[in-house]
Amino acid sequence: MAIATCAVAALPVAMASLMRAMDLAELTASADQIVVGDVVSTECEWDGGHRNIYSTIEISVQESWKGSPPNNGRIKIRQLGGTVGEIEMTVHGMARFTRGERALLFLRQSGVVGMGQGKRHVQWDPGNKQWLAEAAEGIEVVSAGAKGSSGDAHRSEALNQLREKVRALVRN
Amino acid sequence: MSVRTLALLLAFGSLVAAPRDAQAYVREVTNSGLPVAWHYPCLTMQVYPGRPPQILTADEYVAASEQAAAVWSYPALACTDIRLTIVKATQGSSDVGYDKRNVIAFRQDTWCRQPPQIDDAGMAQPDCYPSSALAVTSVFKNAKTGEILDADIEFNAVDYSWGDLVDKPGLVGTTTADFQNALTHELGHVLGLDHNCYTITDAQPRLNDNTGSPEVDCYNPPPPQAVADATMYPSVELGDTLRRDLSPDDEQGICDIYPHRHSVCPPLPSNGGCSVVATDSPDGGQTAMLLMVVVLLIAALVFLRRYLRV
Repeated sequence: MAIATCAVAALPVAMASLMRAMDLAELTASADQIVVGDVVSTECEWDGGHRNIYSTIEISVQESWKGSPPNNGRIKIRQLGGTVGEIEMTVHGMARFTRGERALLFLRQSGVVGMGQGKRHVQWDPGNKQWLAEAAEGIEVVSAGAKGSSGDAHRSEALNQLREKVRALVRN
Repeated sequence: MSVRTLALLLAFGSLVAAPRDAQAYVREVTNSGLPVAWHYPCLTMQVYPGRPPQILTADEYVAASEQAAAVWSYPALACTDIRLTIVKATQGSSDVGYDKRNVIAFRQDTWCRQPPQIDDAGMAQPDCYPSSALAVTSVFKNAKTGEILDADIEFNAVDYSWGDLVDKPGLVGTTTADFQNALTHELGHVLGLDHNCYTITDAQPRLNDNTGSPEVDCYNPPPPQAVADATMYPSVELGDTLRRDLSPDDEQGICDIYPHRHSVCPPLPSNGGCSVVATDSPDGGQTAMLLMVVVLLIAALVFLRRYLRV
């Protein structure tokens, strides 16, 4: 089975699958593990039938907000899509990972909740000297409300603030 | 005007609104930044409507698929060469994956990718999508050339139902989505169009649109109406039906990627596959046909020479 280091998402890939918008409460309730971590490595391989490419993303966990922290401080996420050799498979709507990036992850059974919705890129805001969790991935969201409104999915938020919100939701 | 017609117009005012303005379009690219496209303009997608009971019949799903395909295709869109043909699949599997077979399928028993993934021990492992996903589109392409090689669309008929919200506006506000509306958008991706605007983590760096300008934001600040109304806009209401028809930007995008070159698509072979005779000359494919005749004549001459030597 061919395994290759994934060429993931340094440049844009369209995210287009049709998704129902999940708010923070639903993301939190759906996840069995919520962590903030750094992407250590990504590997891609064909499945046994040579029909689909899967990516395995290793995360070094920095904070654990829900679920037990991993023993060795690392977790692995496996999802559809990636590049092996000349073939690139894009599953529109899946989260994209770049080695070295930090992300807030809502996980369930080693997968990202709600495809791209359960991943939020985290970056340092030097102006305000705080970590910011950016918006959910650019998925095609459907909602029963006004067009384009999908809760807080499109706004950055201070990680400290988000941590308190999530932990409150977990407690409840 | 009947009460029914009036209700339709009230419920779907956007369908009778003034023509949509033009703004720009954005192409999908590979991880290395190459724009993606099919290399041949004749495409076939096999529709597996599933089995009743559903809101629409199998034939109605096929008809809606044909309408969604037609708006992207010649001759309805005269400036393009694309001919996206829908074939109703009555047998065979609706499996998706890299098999050079383009599939539109409904998942009704479990919302999982088919066939299941085979692990290293040779065991089938179900690979299921979240219930929040209404439809999933996967595309295989050549990372070095940008050529699209295979595309599949799966619809979640486990957690949602799919109907015709123009014909049945009473379904708006339920868990029923408009099938033709969703499929038209997904077919835009199948053909190589990206969303027409930028979300904060959608692209690093931000893509340029066809005018060379950075694509506009999808949400903050609110985009121009032409962007929000396009078929390739990324966010819609569940009851949306506006995307059934292409905006001027959608049309421009597909015609720039696949300009009309008078290609001729031969009739579909019995297996529903696709072949193509393409030519840049405005002779309706006659040059290419002539070339094929020449090749056949040469092959016949080679055969005869060998035969005469024996």
